[in-house]
Amino acid sequence: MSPETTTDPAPVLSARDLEVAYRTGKDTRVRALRGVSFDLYPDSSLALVGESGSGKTTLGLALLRLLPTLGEITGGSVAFTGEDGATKDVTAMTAQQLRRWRWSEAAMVFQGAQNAFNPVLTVGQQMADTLLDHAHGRMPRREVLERSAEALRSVRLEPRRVLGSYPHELSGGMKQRALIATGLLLRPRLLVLDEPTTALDILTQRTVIDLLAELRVEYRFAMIFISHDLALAAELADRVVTMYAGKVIETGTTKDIFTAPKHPYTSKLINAVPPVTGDLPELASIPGAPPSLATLPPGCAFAPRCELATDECREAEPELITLTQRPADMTHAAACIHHDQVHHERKVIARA
Amino acid sequence: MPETTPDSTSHQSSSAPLIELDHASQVFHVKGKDLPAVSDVSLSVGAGEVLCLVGESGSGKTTTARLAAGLAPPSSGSVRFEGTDLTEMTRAQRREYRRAVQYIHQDPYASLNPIRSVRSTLSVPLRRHGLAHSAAEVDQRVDELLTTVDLMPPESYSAKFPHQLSGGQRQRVSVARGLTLSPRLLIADESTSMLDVSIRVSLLNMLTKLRKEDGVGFIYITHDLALAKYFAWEGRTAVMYLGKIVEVGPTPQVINNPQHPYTKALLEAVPEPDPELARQKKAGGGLLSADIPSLSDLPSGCTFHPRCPLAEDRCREVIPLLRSAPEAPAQDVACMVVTDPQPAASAGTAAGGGGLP
Repeated sequence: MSPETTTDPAPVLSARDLEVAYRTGKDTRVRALRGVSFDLYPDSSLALVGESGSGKTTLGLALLRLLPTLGEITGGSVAFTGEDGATKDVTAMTAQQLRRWRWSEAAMVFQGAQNAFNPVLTVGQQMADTLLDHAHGRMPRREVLERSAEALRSVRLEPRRVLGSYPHELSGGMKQRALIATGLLLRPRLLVLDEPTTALDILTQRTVIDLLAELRVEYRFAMIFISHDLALAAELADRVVTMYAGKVIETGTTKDIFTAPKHPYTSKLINAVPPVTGDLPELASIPGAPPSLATLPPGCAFAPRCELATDECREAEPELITLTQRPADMTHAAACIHHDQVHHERKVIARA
Repeated sequence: MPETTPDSTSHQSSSAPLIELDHASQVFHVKGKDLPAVSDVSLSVGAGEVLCLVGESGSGKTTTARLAAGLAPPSSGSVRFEGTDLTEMTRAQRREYRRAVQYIHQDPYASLNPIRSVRSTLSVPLRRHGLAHSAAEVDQRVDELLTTVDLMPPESYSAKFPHQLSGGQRQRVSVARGLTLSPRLLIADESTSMLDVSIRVSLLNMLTKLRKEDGVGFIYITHDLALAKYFAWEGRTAVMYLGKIVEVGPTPQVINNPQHPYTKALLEAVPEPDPELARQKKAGGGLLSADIPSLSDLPSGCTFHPRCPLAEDRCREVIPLLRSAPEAPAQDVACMVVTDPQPAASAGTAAGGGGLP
């Protein structure tokens, strides 16, 4: 039995060579995503990590075709496989198809919970809008209320308190939970969350993290979450995708990525995060700054900041190299020709 | 004046600490209500020392820092700079205090004047305090400052306006502005919260260098205990809750052997950059409720009792004071259950041991 045929689950979402460009002037465009490919498996969670400007948010928006007007998908495909097993190309959907697909099969929780709700409508009205739109306006009022209340209860909110409230009457953590409840109203197979806990206090953040972990088991959805906080990825993700200058430069299971990263950028990124438990490691910043997408260096975009870089790196941009022969949802791949020289370790400066 | 505050470090040494809060309180009056934002806080920071204030939003850490920076006078208690009360300073002393204590604000998007170039932002304090007279001197000092905060080459930044800079670059300008007057105490308020991890680390490493090489003292404010651990490992950490210090001690002890249930909850809540450790985190940080009570309607007794997994009957009645913890003598803890444990049965009127009138 070959492992490829027996253990490979079919991905829920599969991006292939996805390209996105933003218009910056009359005839100028900048490539924000450069050939992004990855797979997301059912019931699993994937973290997109990287510094500001690496393309994480652009990727999240492109997957749901929510790019701002200056952005455009210029190539590649996003295949989504529904509950029924039928696969659709998201990049080819019509406006009508998109409208039906979003919320019911794929939902997004946007960055900045504070501003994602309409401030002049109650939370209940906004949840009802979502339900009614997908029922073509035909759903009894009682059912709308019941389903909204159920979704709110699932995120540990009191429906009677929240349904009639305006967004400003809720705390940041309550708003974030209400947004997640709205995302889950129609039981989508895919939930994309952009920086779901960034503006929250540390204890509220913990509540949201734990809630997401529970909901994933209960509602069985696949999750993509975008975060600049690697510690969050370690908590919530099964797989991690590291992005740099609009490209996927490493992908692997959370364990592989955090214990044995094989791209020097991922390794350095992890070594810049302070742990709270155990010994105190030395933290080092990554020298230099991410390149501007408008003036990318030739070859590997990370080469100017990389101590392993050789002339070969500056000549041609490396492709993802598969490092392990495992089932597809366990693969580890890094876009670095010197991956065998990356030895991830943390230098300890004080013992616990 | 003899000190009885358990928190204050050895005052007997030859010189007074740089900054000292002595039973300082700050009460705000909002819509006819009293909001005790900071209650009876005592702390001190000397040259080359670092004190980290941690707590949730609303815990009073920013208000405490503002008291230390002289941005607001305390409602009661006193704030002293090198032993002199802020209210009793001569003009010259006040000027020296204003120069020596600098505040780096929370939000680099809001705290930089949008119509001033970087050079202009940095040159105003230099001229105001007579530290640079000619344009050439200003230029030279601005270049030095930008180099210190790693905005290199300086000439490509000094003419820029805030909107032309990224968040990380603005934050560095903010730090550079804090450094213009060669301060002896820097108060950094979540100054790294919205930055990418790599930029955050380079800023913290730069500030640590200032502390070790130039003896700058630091008050660092954050809600992330992992950052407190890293930045204040050689110093002290004070955990604040609803305007009070609930645990204070040397950072390694507070982080590795926390005593107050609130400190424990904060530690449990920090996401861990290690998948194995992360899975062991307790749900909800072990707290009974995720929401912090309002300052305008504080719970009776220990204000933490409604969220506390250890709360006993006496906690609803008696206000705990900072006491040395039996299990961890290096720390002071405001929790009767920890400092004055007793069988639940005898917890009654005789339980006043934890709280004094």
